[in-house]
Amino acid sequence: MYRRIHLLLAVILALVAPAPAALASGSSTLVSVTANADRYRPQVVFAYAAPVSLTAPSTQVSFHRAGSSAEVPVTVTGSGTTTITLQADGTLAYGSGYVASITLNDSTFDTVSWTTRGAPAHPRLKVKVITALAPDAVDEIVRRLDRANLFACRIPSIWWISRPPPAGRCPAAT
Amino acid sequence: MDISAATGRPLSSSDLTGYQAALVVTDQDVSGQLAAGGALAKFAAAGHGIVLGGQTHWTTNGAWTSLSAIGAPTGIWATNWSPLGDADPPTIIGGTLQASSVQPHFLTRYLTGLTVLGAGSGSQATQRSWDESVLARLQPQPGSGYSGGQSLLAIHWDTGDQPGRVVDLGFNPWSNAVTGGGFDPAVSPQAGHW
Repeated sequence: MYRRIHLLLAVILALVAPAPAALASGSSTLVSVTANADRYRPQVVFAYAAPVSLTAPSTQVSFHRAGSSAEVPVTVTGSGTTTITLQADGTLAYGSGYVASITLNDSTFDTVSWTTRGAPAHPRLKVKVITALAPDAVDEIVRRLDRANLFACRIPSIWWISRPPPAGRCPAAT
Repeated sequence: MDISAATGRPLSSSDLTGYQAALVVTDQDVSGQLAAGGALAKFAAAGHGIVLGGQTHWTTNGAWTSLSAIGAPTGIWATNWSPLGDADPPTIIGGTLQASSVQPHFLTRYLTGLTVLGAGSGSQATQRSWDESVLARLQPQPGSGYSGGQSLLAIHWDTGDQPGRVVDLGFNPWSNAVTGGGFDPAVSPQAGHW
């Protein structure tokens, strides 16, 4: 008899205890989502009414060009808070549609789509950015160059701000 | 491309293949100062454009301590291409645009006001008068060592013998939202549109 009561208490306690953070977030109402037209390492920010969690970002986050299944590599931050930030680890094509989405641990699905800034005024002009600076200073300079939209600025080891040239005609990455 | 001594590598001419222009900004130690000077001199001599920012021509015998200069003081870059010669800055100081110093030029078309935070370029005159010029300078500040005001915008223009163009910005071309930034966008919105 006592064993049955203990078992029952254990079940009840299991039912009423708060769910582990890894399994659910309670209120996961999306308050806002922010994307901009930047092509250089753009950020997409999902803001929620209450903290939310992502236990496996590689499967819960998607960031791709509209109509393409190829995922853009992103860095995900903010799990466990009310703000999840996706930052593309590269440069997007100009004038192109992109889609970012999040599937939270409680299966809530949120998505946003936007279009990147159009062609630079001089899309074939390529400018080499050479620096001996702190990385955050370099990042700010290149973001300003992107927003000025004057030329195609090539960033080491990532993609073109403008559309890539035909295969075989793209100079080696630097 | 990162040419810092901390995390980068020296610049070579092959790094510039396929580019028409370069933006060069330094305020930290440079890996391969001589290599950078040689590669940029060759790039400029081929008729390309180069924009300089930060401390690309300061040496370390005065108030400046980083090995951020491009090339050597008597090298081809410093003597033939950099509008401002290598020099030890007497002081590390910014300042406000001296409106009366602004020369008519397409580069100064929208330059009506700018306040330089932190380190300005630290030079008063270009090396040569026949193909180089200071288009704008900061207001003189008593005791700073710059009686005529530091250069804010200096140029080396193209000639038949030297087809490249070089522009030297006399400030750190990133905002004060980041450490060491040379302008406040709220005060100097023009600085973000160079």
